[in-house]
Amino acid sequence: MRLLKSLIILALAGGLGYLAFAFVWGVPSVEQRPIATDQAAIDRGEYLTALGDCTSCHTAEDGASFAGGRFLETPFGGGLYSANITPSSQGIAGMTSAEFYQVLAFGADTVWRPVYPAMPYTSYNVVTREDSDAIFAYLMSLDPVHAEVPANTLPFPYNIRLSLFGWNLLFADRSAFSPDPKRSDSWNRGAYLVTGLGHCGECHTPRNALGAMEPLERLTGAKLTGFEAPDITANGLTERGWTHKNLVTYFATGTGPQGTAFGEMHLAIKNSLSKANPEDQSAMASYLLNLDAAPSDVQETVEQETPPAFKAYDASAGRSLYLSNCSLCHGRDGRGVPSVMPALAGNSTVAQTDAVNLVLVVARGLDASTDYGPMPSFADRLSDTEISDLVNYLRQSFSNLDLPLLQAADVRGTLKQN
Amino acid sequence: MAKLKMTVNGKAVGPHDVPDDLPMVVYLNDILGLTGTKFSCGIGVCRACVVMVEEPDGSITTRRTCIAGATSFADSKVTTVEGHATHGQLSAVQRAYVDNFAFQCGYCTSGFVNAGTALVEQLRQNPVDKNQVEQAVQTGLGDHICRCSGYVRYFEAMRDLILSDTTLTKEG
Ligand code: FES
Ligand code: FES
Repeated sequence: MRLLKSLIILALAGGLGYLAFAFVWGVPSVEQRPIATDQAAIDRGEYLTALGDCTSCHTAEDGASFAGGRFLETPFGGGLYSANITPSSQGIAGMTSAEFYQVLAFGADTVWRPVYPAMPYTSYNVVTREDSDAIFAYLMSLDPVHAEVPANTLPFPYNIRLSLFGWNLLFADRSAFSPDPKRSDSWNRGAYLVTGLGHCGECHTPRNALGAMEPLERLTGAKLTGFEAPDITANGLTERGWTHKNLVTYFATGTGPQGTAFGEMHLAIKNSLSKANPEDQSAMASYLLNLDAAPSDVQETVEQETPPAFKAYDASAGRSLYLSNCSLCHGRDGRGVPSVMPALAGNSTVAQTDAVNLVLVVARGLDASTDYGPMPSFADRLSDTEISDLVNYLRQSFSNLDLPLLQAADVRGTLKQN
Repeated sequence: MAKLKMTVNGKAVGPHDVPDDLPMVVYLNDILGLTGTKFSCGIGVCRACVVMVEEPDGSITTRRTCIAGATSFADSKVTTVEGHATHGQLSAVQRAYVDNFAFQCGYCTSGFVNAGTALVEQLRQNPVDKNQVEQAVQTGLGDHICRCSGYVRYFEAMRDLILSDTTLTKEG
């Protein structure tokens, strides 16, 4: 009985302590500033909102822009619905610019309702207050959309919001962006955008068991749900053939010699990266490739003229499968048809080490996008062995890298897990 | 090169020596002389080139022949637009399209005949509620493009045909 009592007292004290911690540390206080209403601020905010790709998550399929309600699946069972961020009573009406910044950068404007880190405040912490205010000015200038957002479906214990402050203490960086004085302005601008508004790491950085990004593995590629987000470190990108020029083209159009954007990246290009101005696109490419300036075109052209080496590889089974199932669109030599069929030779997805995305695309296909027709799915028609033969053929023929050969069991495993 | 055999419109064809990347539509048109299957977009979008395929388990699917090599049809049972009429009599689907004036130039028609027939066969195996017929027709034909814009009549023809055959729907 005594023990039980002490336990209860201990639990109560712990709970109170945690609550005190949440109150003191949970929501950093920030200065109140008026909402900007001038057109210049609103226009700047619109641009920054696009760079932050707010719309991709805050717009449901076929829903009104920014009215929220898009279901975001989590690896914890259940998921979250994105918030309505239009100035309606179900949205952000009544919010101050300070509260907006608190949510954006620290994930909470009140101790009672912290937001889940599906909202990338774990990246937006580097966004400046000025940029946050401009985004807020733009969102507040929109027509209010009266749309209720459905309740989240996260199971216990993940549905205890208050616990997020503990998570934040452990995992959410709160520091502001600090430019590296040794690097160029363009590199620093790229760093600010990639780590902050662009929140590239949220998909491309692996996460730990509690769903936090692993700081030592930044941008090395990760898989949450659906397709894998590839390694976009300078090394990873260069290995798979990306150049500065091709990255910029990819940001602007979603396509290029290294392939086409699909899955979530298609949305990121369509709603965000393609709307960045050329200077910002170039800055992001410079940062990702760790260059201080865009290389001159001359250098790049030389690089591009080197065709991917076709290796001698005995893959008759894979080659026959390729010729009869793929070559009619992607070409005998894998070069595709510009603007119609993605090239496979030099394609960055073909060159990903674990081939997860390649296997998934072959097996499940892709929906048509604005530029490309649909990719048919082959899971019903090709066996695991045939898919592994085909994928091995693609990887050995159309990539310069020394990629491991896949077995049928690897294909089965990938398809089972996804 | 591969030795290719298959069954087309109920008849065994081959063996033929064909390159691995010979498109199925070319095999049908030029080697078998079955010119009813049309090559249109050539990139798997319009579905003018669709044929019907009976899977080993008896289920019926459709496949595009412009983006698939003939060798990928090895040993399968294929039906082209030439395989539907019997003894000079149009099939029910063909009849329905004609009666509804569903097409004009007819370039898309062989694809619609195969897709429509596949849909009827699928419904025979798995009937749907009457109120789901519209959706079933949309799923079955919705990807097919007709530049003469006969969509409405194609759709109406299929809907009426399905609703008039009690084995294709269940009460619901
Ligand atoms: S010709 Fe085959 S889909 Fe268009
Ligand atoms: S009738 Fe001409 S394309 Fe359909």
